Amino acid sequence: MAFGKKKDDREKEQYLKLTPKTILLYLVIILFCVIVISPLVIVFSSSLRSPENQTSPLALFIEFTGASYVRAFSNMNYPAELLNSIMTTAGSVLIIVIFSTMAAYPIGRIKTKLARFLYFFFISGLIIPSQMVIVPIAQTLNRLGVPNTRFTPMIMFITCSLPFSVFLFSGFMKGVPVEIEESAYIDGASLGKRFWSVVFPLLQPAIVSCVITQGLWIWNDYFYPMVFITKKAQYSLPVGMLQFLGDKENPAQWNILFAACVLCALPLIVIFLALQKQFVNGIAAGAVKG
Amino acid sequence: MADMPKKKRKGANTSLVFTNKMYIFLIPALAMFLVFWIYPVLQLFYYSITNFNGINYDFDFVGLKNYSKVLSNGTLTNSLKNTMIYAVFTVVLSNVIGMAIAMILNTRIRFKGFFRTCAYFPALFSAIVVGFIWSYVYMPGAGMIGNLLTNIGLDGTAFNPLGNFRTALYAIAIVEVWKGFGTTMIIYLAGLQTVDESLLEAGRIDGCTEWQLIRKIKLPLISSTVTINVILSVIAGLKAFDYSFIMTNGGPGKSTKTLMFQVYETAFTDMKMGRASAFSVMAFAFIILITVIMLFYLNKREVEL
Amino acid sequence: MNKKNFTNKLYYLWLYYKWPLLAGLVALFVAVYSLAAVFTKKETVLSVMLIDCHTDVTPERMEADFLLDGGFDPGRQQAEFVTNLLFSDAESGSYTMTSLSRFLADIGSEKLDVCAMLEEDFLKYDNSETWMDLSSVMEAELLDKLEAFLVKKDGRVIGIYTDGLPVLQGYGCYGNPDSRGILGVIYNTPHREAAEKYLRFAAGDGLQ
Repeated sequence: MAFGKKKDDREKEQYLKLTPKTILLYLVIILFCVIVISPLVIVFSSSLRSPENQTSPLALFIEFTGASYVRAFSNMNYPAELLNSIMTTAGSVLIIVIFSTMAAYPIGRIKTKLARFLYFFFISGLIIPSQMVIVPIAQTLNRLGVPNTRFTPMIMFITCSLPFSVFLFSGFMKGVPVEIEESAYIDGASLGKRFWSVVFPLLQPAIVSCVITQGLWIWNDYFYPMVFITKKAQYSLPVGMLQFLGDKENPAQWNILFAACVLCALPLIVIFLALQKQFVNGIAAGAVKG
Repeated sequence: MADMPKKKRKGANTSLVFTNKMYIFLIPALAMFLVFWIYPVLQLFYYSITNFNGINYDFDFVGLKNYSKVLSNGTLTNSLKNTMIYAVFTVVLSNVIGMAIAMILNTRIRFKGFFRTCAYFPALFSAIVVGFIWSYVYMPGAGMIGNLLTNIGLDGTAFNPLGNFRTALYAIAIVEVWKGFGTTMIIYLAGLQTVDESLLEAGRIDGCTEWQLIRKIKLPLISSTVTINVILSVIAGLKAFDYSFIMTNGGPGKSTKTLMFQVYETAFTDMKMGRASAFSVMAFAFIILITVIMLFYLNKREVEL
Repeated sequence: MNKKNFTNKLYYLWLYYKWPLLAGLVALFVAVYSLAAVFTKKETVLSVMLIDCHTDVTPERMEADFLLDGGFDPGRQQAEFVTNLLFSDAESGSYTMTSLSRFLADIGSEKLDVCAMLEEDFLKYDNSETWMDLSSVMEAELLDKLEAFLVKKDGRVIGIYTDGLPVLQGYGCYGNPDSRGILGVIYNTPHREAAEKYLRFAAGDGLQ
């Protein structure tokens, strides 16, 4: 699923020479990364302790055992929940991209008052946080007879993501020159062909941004799954992870929770690292060269 | 007479390429949006004029009493103030840092992939875990920052950002920025990639410094990206409540009670769903107002540039 | 000649419309899955939420016990037990808020029948008219048996202390003596008879 076309004759990227200015640049970025990562070190070090170890999380790296990971893995039924998360996230993101690019097409191109109204109409959906409307939403879903399956939260993931995505794509769409579409029209391309083969590929940088941002919050979201899913077998990863929380009487088992947290973020990290190449290719190939 | 174009209403769509048939493309998104979002929101508006308590559906109309109560008991002003401070702080920091890092990562240095992953790392973790870790970072004395301060000779125990009502809001805003700047960075990176290299070359040949290149060429060309990011961060900042919940629970005092936090507190702790709905209606109106103002302002600047 | 046109058409479809096709397939899969779920859906006879209960017993076991006792057919009927919600002093306010949202959403969709929570919360929710008067649900002899554990307010019986319900005690729910739990029936429950059966079952007077 390579986003960018592989150009055989693409010249190898030339890196900046190591002038003092460049070295300074490297130092800045390295220092920045260190500062950014440091709080997360607590997560990693705590996850490597055994579940019973109650010393403060700040005592870093005092123990190295995989016991917490094992507990987290088995208790959460990781493979099943991982599959649920993957299916839900991938499915939602796919539909979001399709629906919102389609919706952004008339909004970004037609210049009437109606189109402008629709633009603001979608954006206004951003303002409302999901927690306030969850009760009417649950009632609506119930009235429509939607069963409580593991895919039910997908409906809400897509709906909540539409405002942002439509906003993003219609903004980007305005940057795509109309000449391309006009020449396709003159060449006799139908509306569908004009959209899917001409406009859609040009939206790649925006699509990548959309996939990353939306995919991320959908993966980590526990709110909709917790409201709509009951059976443990249908849990997604974040829900499974939060089962280790507790309260004053049964305190949360933080070591296991951190291990679960790492396990939950791991697929994301893997995907992100693996797709770095695609990422660069995709964005660069999608760039509109004048 | 035969060659006179058909008279159309003023402002109607007369384009040949972009016909009204395109509106069909809107249907799936619009349908879902209306059914699962707009309709529930309208129900929320309806609740705002009742005395619904969240559980029992045997409620009565109270007209605008909820609204007058909210306006008069001072909770609105307090949370408005907190939210504005929080929003401005997170928007400015998140965008400046996001843009700066995106620009650095857009140059031809090595290991960009690694740095990009590092910068995006905080965004990958759940907010609950992030909140918990940062309360350890902020812990006076033994916490990460406290420890660092002690090591360089300052008093680590006096450092208590979460416990001080003056600094708590900024402390949690920093957490929000820490987690969120990765997203703005990604969007800026995407925008920067569309900047034509040849324009920058021409600028360099003409003898511009890096800073001039940034100001005169890059910034104007990514102005639409800036608009998108700023609007999104503004809306997200005005809606913020996660860390108020996770880290400080509104305290100390009421210094971290943002708009949405106040709404939830009224709805779920005080069990006054009707009043909370009225509160959120007013909050929405406020956020829409700010957003529309910013949109117009930014769009105007886009066109000018 | 016809075959060539057909394969060409397919190839053309794939080349130009692969993304909408893929999305369509996904939507189709989810739709079929959901339809199948609707048709194979077991009838839910009871929905129970045990909030802040801290038990190690799985919801599946609780469901099996109740279905067996109530004489229901596990092949075609099911009972929902939710035990992972936290209201009080959770180490994460976010989780509490999500639990609360779930609670309110289920009541709003008229899905919740029986609910148990800590004493403090239970009484607070009575101010919002959450609980049904149990004297209209339970039979007299059961009321008498549990007399010592009934929670009364203004003449209405709103709940039962979980200490008096052996089945819940057996599961280890609400084990902390400092904060007792109370079980009640939601005012708009759709399954009154089943709720009554559950109360009897929990009190140890099950049919079996």
